[in-house]
Amino acid sequence: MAEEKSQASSSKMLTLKASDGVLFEVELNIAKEMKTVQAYIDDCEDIETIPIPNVLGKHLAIVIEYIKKTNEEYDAEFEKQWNMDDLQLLLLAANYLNISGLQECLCKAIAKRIENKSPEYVRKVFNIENDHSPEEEAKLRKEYKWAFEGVDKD
Amino acid sequence: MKKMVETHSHSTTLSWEILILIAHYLDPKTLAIASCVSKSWLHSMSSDLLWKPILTTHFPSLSTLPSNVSYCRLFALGHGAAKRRRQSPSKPTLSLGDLIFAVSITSNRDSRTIGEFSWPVDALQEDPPGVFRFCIGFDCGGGVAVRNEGLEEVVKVTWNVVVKGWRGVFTLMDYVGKMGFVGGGEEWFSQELPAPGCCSKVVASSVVADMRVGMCGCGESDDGGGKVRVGKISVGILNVDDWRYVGIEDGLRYLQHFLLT
Repeated sequence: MAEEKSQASSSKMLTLKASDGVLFEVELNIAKEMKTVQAYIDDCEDIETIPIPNVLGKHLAIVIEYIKKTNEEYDAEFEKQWNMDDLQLLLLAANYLNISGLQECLCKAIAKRIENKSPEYVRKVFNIENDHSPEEEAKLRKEYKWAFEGVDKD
Repeated sequence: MKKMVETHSHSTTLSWEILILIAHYLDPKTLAIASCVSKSWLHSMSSDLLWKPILTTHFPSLSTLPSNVSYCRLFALGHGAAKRRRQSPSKPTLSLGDLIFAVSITSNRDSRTIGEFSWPVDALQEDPPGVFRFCIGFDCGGGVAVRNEGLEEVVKVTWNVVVKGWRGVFTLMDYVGKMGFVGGGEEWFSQELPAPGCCSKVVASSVVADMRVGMCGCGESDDGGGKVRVGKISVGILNVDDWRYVGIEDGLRYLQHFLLT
């Protein structure tokens, strides 16, 4: 009987509802990788549908797949498929859902993509407005001159 | 949740938490560049919390410096210092083909010329090769015949280097000393050279101008005494710390200091 029960709980399915209403049925042990979800379950054991208001269905699908498949090889190839916008949104999702492995993987991927790039490139990627005055910027570039050597051309 | 979310996705503003997370994965160079992106990025990316471990990893000897500057600034200083330490001297802009050596040996008593020579340096033979020492031998037509073999005389020896086109002159040797006139003998003249440019003699110069004058006998004079002439001359720049002639490039770099503005 105990065996049956543990079998039942390990194959218990949970429903996650993305921000755009898309529903995902996942096994409990998968869902538990998301510490935020884990906290939800801890709070109310009987819950069956958990709302994930910050994450689009598209990204939640990717996150779930990551959890299922993650290993060294998968992680190495994982980030190559996504553009910068998706990477950022995935990082936001991983951060919200509190999945440390995915968070690290994505941070490394984003860092790698802006490695040795100019400030203009970085601004464009993250859609940041340059609020330095021209004098301030010139002063900064002079101070950080050492870092600008050998920077990739835009 | 409609398209609004989709269009906003491009203007996702990363929350500060996320930004700092990524910052921890950036190499120092990228982190520094990121500081230039905007005011708020500057504030986040130059934080001591981020830079302290970077400094400790790259320049552990600096991380114990008591200072009131940011770790970021210390890193930049360490980076610059390491670069300058690694710097090897740049290639000389002068080449042997730009130079002419002029040597003159005159009697100090009556200014009679004993020998006067000038050569383009690239026509001279390096002896040994690769080293800033040049030799020239004369047939019994070089120099001025001196009577009185066996005499010792006080002479003035000068060795100048001239940049072709008279673009620069430097005196390597201007020396008064005794010279003997014996066929087959070799006279040796040596004079301290000044330290180039930036450092005083204590730090930089242990070089001397070095000249050897070989005499050769040539026939008999009217009164029965032997005649000697200058048979060969060698000039070079010698390092007196290890008694070796400096290399060609070092010699050129040395002269460059004094010849070119």
